[in-house]
Amino acid sequence: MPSTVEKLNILGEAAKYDLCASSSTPRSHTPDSIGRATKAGVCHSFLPDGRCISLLKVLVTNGCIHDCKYCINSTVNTNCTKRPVTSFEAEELANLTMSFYLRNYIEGLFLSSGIVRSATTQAEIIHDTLHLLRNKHKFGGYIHAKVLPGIGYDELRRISELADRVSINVELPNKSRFEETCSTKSYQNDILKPMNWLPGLRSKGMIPAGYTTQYVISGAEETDEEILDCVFSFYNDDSNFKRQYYSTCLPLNDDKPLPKKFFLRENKLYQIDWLYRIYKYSSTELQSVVDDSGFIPLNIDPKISLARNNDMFPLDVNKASYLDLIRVPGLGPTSAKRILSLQKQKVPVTRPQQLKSIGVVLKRALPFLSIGSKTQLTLEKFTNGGQ
Amino acid sequence: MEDNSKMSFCNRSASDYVEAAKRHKDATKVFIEKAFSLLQNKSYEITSGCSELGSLVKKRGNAVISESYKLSAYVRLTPLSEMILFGSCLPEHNTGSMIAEYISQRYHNFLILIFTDKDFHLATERVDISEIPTFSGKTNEEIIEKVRNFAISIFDDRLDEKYLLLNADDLWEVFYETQFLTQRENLKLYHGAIPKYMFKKAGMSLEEDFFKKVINKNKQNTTLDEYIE
Repeated sequence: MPSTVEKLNILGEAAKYDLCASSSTPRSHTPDSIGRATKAGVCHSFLPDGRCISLLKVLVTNGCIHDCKYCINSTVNTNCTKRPVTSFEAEELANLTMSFYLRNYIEGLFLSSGIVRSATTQAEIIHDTLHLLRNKHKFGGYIHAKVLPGIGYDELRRISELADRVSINVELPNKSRFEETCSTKSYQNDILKPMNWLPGLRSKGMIPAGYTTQYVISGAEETDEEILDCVFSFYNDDSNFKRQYYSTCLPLNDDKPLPKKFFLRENKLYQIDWLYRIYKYSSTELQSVVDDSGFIPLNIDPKISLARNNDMFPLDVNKASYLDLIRVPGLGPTSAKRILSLQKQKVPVTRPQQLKSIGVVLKRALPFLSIGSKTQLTLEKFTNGGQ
Repeated sequence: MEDNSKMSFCNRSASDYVEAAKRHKDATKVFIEKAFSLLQNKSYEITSGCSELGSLVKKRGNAVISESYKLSAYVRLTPLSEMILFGSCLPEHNTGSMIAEYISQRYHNFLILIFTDKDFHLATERVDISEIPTFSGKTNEEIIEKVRNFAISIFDDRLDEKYLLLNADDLWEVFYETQFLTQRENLKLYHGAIPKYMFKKAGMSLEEDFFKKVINKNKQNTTLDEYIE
């Protein structure tokens, strides 16, 4: 029987590819709870790969019956990993979470699992752990639970009552791509079916921090166009996903740092995702960025690419609205709000330096802005400078 | 006077910046007076940073807010069964009480005790304490003991002993190291979140040791060709 340290080593390692970012939740807390999740979310540490640690991220077990090509725990990759199969007991995991939480190491728990027998059985164990934490240990921190493919409605509902956020990994953007990577799961029944239950559960007041999904990039031969079709359909009003994450498929046998260009595709997908959610570009506009081969060009910022083909520029910085301002490259929601605040206070922007002091990246923004009657830099000059 | 101090850029108002800047290590009496005067007359200069003084107030305010936010997240605590969580850090500015108050919002049923190099700070959101008494002591241990006795005399609840796992820090070290993806190594991004000086300020020896380990491994793995490149 492995010790808790050995289990943590194996089951922490097995969960490290899963992504979770925010730990903010609007859930109200009870007076006798131990701790409470903050509305802002907190990162308690960072790793030399730049990712934050805000949650204890582990699997219940690393044993799995599925054969997903990209997964370290799948039946086809067990030879690469050579890790013994082990599992946490519910009480053991609950104690570990509480001990870390009280030491200010974490904001909460991220719990996922391999599937040893069935999704239902494994979901029961996840539920038992969360139930112990919330009811016996009075844990008031944040909980993110993974929805296992093939889970039943009742198990999902019971987990959703206890977790702040749940996520189900779609992994690939459509049925045919999904089947390229896994023969033991059904895209329709195991992934999309449980996904369709989530909006209903949220409308009943469960999962206050919403639900998310994750794609494995280059897991199959999928194109960015296929991924974006899927992404925008999940962000629509019917599905209403809070976030979608993109994770480049990493070679499981090679443990050397990879060059940054290896992750460029993932980076571009995140840029498009942010332009949609935060900068309020339409899906049609963003899909126009994709080239004829179905991929987002890697050598240009999508926001600049869209701005170059837009007649609305140059914008008068002293008159522009918020939604117009955030379309200016080098200018984000924070600096746009600051410019609006200056407009309200009737403090005109007369010099580029004023924009710099409130956080605008002048080199990118100036070709698209006019201050008074002047445009600060021509697009041609900017383009040449960029080259 | 027109009250426009709350015309904020995003969430922070001019008065937020001034209140924070007061705690900056270089904040003199003259600076604080000038900052308040600017707040009353031209608060937009603080929020936009468009004058020399406004920019200085904003810069110092941001330094204090950033330190307090980071240390509240990075400082490690030790739980005691008497519903006390204590920890220590070395803030550059006068942020000890801000850190203790921030942490007490998260652990609302606990008495939070934060030691800095100069003093210590207590905070709590417990409703059964109307006022936290003044404690004094020559050593941290002495102060902890006094706070402990106070908690015993006031609180009925106790923390479950099993949460006081002695090897929690060792377990954390194991977990921390498992989460690193070597293929994604990105030290620039890492230091954006944890600048090197933060290791010492927050007592992040685990992170510091692991960072050194990663650097040393890189040095050993670098071939002459890669080095020249």
